[in-house]
Amino acid sequence: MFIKNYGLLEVKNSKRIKRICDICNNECEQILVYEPSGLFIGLPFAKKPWLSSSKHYFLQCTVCRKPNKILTKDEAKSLMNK
Amino acid sequence: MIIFGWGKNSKEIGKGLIQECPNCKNVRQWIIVETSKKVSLYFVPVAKWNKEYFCICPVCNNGIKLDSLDDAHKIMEAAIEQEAALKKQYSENECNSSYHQASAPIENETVSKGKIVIESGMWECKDCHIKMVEEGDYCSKCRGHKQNVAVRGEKMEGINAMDEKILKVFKELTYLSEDFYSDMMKIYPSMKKVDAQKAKYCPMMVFYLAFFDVIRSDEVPQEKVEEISGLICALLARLNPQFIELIDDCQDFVNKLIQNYMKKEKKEPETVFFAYSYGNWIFHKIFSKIPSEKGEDIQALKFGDYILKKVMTYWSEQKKSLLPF
Repeated sequence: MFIKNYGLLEVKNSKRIKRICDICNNECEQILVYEPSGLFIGLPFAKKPWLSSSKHYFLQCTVCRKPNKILTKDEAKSLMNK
Repeated sequence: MIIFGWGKNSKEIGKGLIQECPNCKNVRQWIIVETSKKVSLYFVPVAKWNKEYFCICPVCNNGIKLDSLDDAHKIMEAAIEQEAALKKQYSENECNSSYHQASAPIENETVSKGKIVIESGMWECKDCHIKMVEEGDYCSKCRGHKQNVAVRGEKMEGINAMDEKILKVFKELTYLSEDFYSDMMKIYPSMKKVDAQKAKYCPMMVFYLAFFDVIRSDEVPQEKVEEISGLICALLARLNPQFIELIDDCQDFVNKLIQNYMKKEKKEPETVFFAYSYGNWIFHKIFSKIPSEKGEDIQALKFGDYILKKVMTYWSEQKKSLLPF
């Protein structure tokens, strides 16, 4: 069990949403990303943890690569079911 | 129990030049950052290595890797010079704005549609009738007559004066693009290290700067902006027959621009914004479709400069009779 800052990880095969980025003002198809947080189980040097105590979901701009809108778990799930 | 950490550390060490980001298209003052790898023990940093320097856009963090700290210092020095030049330019503009005050202290004579000189050093706003002493183009209270205020240091004399003004802006833009072109050529090798694909946006940057200056300039009325966009599109179509094929996605918009230019319809305020953003979009569409192979980036860069020069020449020689449609 360990603590680490993994950063933003992309949810693969999720639906993309076209919106204007709040940071760079570019209109693009934003992707669903998540940030694992809390305590992790897995290999500390691996890209992803096997298990995390909580996850936060965001929409990430593909131009500036910065998270834009915070999503709830339900919203994120609806995007995952493409 | 041992607590240790590792990761990357980055800190801002200075300010860079004000320029447009090729990735996010925002014009901002870039920043110079130093990145390094670190290891900490019990939250105390114990080792730092692999220092690298980058000049990055503060919005999207996209940027150029610098070879050494000396390069970073050079950019910082250039930024200080640029800031000084901008301050000087700003102060000169402030002096120019008091042109009428200094050279034409005539009582009760209208020098512009927006402001009236009532006595030496005093102004009266035509809209709200507030008397004011301060310099500048706008009334300090209403600020609502941008279009009616005289061009700095010149009298506004209808559309012909405005045509001349636009021509002047175009001429300035041509020089700007030449400087920009030479600067881009200097930084092109270092750009290539980061992302060769980005280099194809260079002509778009030239146009973006052109549009940016024209549109942001208070000296050119907003209704002229769409007209200029239409003019440039029409010229591009004339100069390069493949242009229309390249922009098949935005054909309707180009047609609309040209029609508006021809008919001189009364424009809605939103269309100015659309002309601005679609202008960028059109060039993005064109140059994203041109394959970026070895040597073609430079050709595309030259093409942007070439088009801008042509626009200026056509505008000065033939003015409004240049449309091929």
